[in-house]
Amino acid sequence: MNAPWLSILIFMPLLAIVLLLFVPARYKQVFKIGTLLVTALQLALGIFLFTSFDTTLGGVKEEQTMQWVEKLAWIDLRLGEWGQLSIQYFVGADGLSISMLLLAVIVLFMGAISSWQIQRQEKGYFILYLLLSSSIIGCFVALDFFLFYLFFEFMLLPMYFLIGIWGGKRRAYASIKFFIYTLVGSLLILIAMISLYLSVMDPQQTALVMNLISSSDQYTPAIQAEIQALLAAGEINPEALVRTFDLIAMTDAKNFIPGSFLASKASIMADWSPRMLIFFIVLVGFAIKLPVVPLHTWLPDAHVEAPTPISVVLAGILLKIGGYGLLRIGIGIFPAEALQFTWLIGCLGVVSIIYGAFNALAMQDLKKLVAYSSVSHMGFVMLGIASFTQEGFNGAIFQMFSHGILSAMLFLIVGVLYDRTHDRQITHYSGLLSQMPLYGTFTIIAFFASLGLPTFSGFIGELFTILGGLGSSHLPAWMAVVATLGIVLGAGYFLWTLQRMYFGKLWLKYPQEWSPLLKDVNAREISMLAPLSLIAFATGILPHLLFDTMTTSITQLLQFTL
Amino acid sequence: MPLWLLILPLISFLVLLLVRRLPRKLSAWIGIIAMGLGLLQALSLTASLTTVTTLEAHWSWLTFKEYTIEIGYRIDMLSGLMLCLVYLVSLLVHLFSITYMQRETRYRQYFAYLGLFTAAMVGILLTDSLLFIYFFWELVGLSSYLLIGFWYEKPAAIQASKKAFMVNRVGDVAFLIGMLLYFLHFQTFQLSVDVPASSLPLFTLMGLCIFGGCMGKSAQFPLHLWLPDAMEGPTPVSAMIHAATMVAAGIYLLTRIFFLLTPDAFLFIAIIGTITTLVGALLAIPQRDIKKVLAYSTISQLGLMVLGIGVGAYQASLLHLFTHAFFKAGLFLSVGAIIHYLHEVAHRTEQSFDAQDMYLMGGLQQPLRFTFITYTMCMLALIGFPLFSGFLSKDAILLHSYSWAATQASLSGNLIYYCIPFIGFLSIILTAFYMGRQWYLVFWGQNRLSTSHPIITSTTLKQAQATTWPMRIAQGTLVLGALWLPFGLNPFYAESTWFWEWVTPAQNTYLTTFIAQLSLLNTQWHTAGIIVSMSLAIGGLGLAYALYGRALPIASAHSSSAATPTLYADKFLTSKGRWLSRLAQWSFSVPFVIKPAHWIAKVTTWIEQAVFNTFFDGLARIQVVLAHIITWWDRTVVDGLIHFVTASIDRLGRGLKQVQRGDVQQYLTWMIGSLLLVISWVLYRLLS
Repeated sequence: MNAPWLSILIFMPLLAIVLLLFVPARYKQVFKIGTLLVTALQLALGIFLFTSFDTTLGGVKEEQTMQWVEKLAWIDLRLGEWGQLSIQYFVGADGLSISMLLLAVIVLFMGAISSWQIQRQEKGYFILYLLLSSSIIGCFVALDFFLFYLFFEFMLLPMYFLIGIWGGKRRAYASIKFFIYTLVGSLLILIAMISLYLSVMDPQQTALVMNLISSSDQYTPAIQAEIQALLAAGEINPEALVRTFDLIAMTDAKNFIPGSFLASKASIMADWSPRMLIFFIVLVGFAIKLPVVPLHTWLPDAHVEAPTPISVVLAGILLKIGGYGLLRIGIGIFPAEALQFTWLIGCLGVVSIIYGAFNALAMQDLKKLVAYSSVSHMGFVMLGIASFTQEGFNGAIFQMFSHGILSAMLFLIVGVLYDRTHDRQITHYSGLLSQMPLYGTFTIIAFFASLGLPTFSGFIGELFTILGGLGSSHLPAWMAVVATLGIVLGAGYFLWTLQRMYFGKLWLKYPQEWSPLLKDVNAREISMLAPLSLIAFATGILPHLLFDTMTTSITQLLQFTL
Repeated sequence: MPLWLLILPLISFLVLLLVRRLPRKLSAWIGIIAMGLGLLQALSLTASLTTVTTLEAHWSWLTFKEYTIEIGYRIDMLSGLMLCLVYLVSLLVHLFSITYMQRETRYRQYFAYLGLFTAAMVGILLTDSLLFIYFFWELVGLSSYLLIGFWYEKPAAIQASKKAFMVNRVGDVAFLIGMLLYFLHFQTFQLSVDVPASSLPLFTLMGLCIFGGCMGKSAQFPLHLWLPDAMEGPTPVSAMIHAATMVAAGIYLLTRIFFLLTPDAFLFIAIIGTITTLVGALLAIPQRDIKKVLAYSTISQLGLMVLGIGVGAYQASLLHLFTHAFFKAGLFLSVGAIIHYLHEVAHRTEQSFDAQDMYLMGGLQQPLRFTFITYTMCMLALIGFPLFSGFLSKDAILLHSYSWAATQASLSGNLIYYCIPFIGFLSIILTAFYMGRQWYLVFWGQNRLSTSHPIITSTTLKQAQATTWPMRIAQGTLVLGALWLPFGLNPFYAESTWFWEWVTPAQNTYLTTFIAQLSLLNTQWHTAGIIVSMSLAIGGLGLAYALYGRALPIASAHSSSAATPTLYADKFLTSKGRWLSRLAQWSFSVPFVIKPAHWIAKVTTWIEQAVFNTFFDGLARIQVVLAHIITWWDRTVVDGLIHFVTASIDRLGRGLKQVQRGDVQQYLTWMIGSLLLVISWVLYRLLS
């Protein structure tokens, strides 16, 4: 079956938005059901794509082995002496993105179910939610930097309003903080994007302009080599040079225009070449999103104030765009420069792991605890990326998937409690297991899965990132060893929470008011928690389900010449 | 198929966990049938093995470009025997629990957790890959957590279960690192690799890291802290997990990595084992909780096994693992029977007292005749009396350690090596003493319960339910294992046991020459060893008799609380011993680990609030201030300039407007004035 699947995935929610705009706001159920339906379709399509994904194709640096590619000219400007500007609608998936795509559709679907309890301004909420879902998917499949940036920025807008309008007490502060932080990140990415645009040629379109080929079908590797040779020799007329945002073209060092900003080897800051500087900018930009200590403080606030489904989406997918972007754009385009920063990346990862874990240990608010555990768990992603090994990269992507599923589960668990009593203080509860046995059981599953119990996905992610870190020739061994402290601390804060809130005799801060409210999880909540636990379990004992999709791509990503 | 061994207990676990409306009786029997079938399977499997054959199969679990991580099983004689042991103990504990847990509301879950534990334990034994040993290792930790905290309404139980998991986690992290180092060096997790003839420092590191995991699970000093607390769990659980099987997993793992261990690693392991033996035996003495005595005794015995591995006594340590599993599980089940009986007494008389406090016992041999016999037999095995199985194994380890020390001392000329066998022998007398103390406190003399609770009379004591047939089967079967006969015909010589024949020691390149010298010495010291250890055991028992064997007066006639009488004979022990055990508990956990962790957590939260948030909020604030400054600048300077320009133009315009407002006289003045100016200019030019 050949259909523009990825576009369908992206534009389905946008189409739904257009339809929903005409529905009067009082038909609340229409928005809920409509959103659920769209995300369910996305989920079905996402699973279909994941199962039909060809694991032998690498993608990453070659357009030919990208899957479900759609490439359309979008904006072409002839700028005379400045060459030509080409922005394309270019989407496709490879091993780096397919598992993230799967994660995105799963979490968005769960978020839609969880959004059922939204009580006010449903129309606005669900339209923004659909917009968010569209831009998240777009982000993972865009292969044109401009398109990526567009989706990247477009996530901010619905997120800002979703936190700022439907959030908790300090929502105004949290949403503005979230907005400012991520905007700074976006600006850094923008700088990187512009400097890359100024320095990179699209060989295929240049060949077309120079009439070496008459249609893109004739484009062969030989032609590409010819064009690149001409470029290196400086024999391409500046007016014929097509500058591009194509992320795949950017991964090939031969496409960099001699004399352009990024092609120069001159030191501009200390002994940093322009490429190093831009890599650093990309690193910081995505590190804010990931988030990495010390750029993480937006996260606890945003999480605490966001409504449950938005926390789920935020932790479940949005953070992963940081890791994904770092891999595709940071490592994909600047591998040699990234190698010079491995120490920094690894160090940031380890600091995040430990620092996040200690903070989680001290938290009194259950949601904050979960938020800081996210910081800690995402630190493993940084460690894996810093290792520059097959195991480390595999582990990093796996850890992102695993954390996406588990943090979604954890935030849903917090949500169950908050929906009933509007209170999340750990010290206000005790013995919840006897009052809500099924809820307690799900909590135990989620906590143990998150603290890295084998048979659940969290263990595999941690195992492989640590293995990568320990076996890496670019990192000192102590980093991986220190990172394991995070595993001990993880057990500490999760088990302590179990002890304080779930075990023991039932005790509540306001027993009269709360005890009739604290009913066990209902069917809707089970329909979210049960599948998520199953996914965490299945990927925990059969990790090859995910690893096989990414191994070829990661091998490609690691093949570069210094 | 051997995988049924893993599947059977898992079925029991899943059925019991998921099927909600199961009749109580049925839920116990599902577990029992699963364990029974498993035991049969394990027995038939082991019977089909010889000392050299193995059963194995492997599949690929993960495939990467350069290597494949395999999943599979490999059963040799050792794992076969261990499987039989685990299934047997599990079956007996299931049986025992029918009665013991009869008043429990979460009966079904209890048996489900037992199933999970058995599955995880079997998993450790089946697999030959370090990664999957770790996998099941952690699952064993989970089921132990669930079972220790089974009575989760009790804060102490939850505290204990958390502590057990956390302390084990610390060990497991070391295990994880060791395992990854192993993988990075050998490119496989399989435990069948060739080690180079010359030892590498890396191997020492690897071996010791993996040993870290053993230290956690097998409660070795200083990670032994969790085991006494774990006694908060149901007593049958203590029998199975915290005496017979799970804690032995560490010893089993040590034998699996035996080939990897270097001389340095061996020495370290021996030292840790020795310290543990001593600490455990010393701390068992002052306890007044009946189960804690046995818990510390388990620590001490596990230390002895680790000591055995450390000195290279492979078979002796494993033999002790087996014999200890029988007699210690037997002891725990006997204690379980006592506690159960006292609970029944409490239930009948509607009194509440601590059923585990030995000070409230005494004279229990009358109502609990059967238990008295099983307890006594197992106790004699633990002390190491001849004709009992414990004697065979314990003596073999101690003899081996003595020959080891003699060899080491003769090689290095350093007598310090003798410390290890010395402490080993010392532990015999300590063991005999604390077991004798318990024996007298529990079974002999008058019942002290009626002193503190006058409502409980000797008639009520007689009426309460003692043991039921499933309990008797369980206790009775384990007692058989406390005798020498199931192991071999000769009661004095461990090397003539069948076990010795079946389980051949793993090869270790670094030990081969050394072992040859040892076995020679072993035979030389044998008779002397028997005499020494026997006299030490009798000495310990005699000491216990001297202190506790006669009528035990209660010292607390004028004590403030009658419910907790203090024994006169124990006065010294309770004052010094409590202090000792509290010190041991505190020094390693509270002030040095937990408090600093919370302290650091507070610091990071403070950093979070005071540094990051203040910093970034400050940035935002500065921005706002800056914005105000710019606004001011904009209003005053920039706008001022514009205003100035516009105002000047305005002024100018106004000024010029004056010129043409239709004032004829003014026009005339301007006209004449300018005319005069022009005329004067022309005149001036003409004249000059």
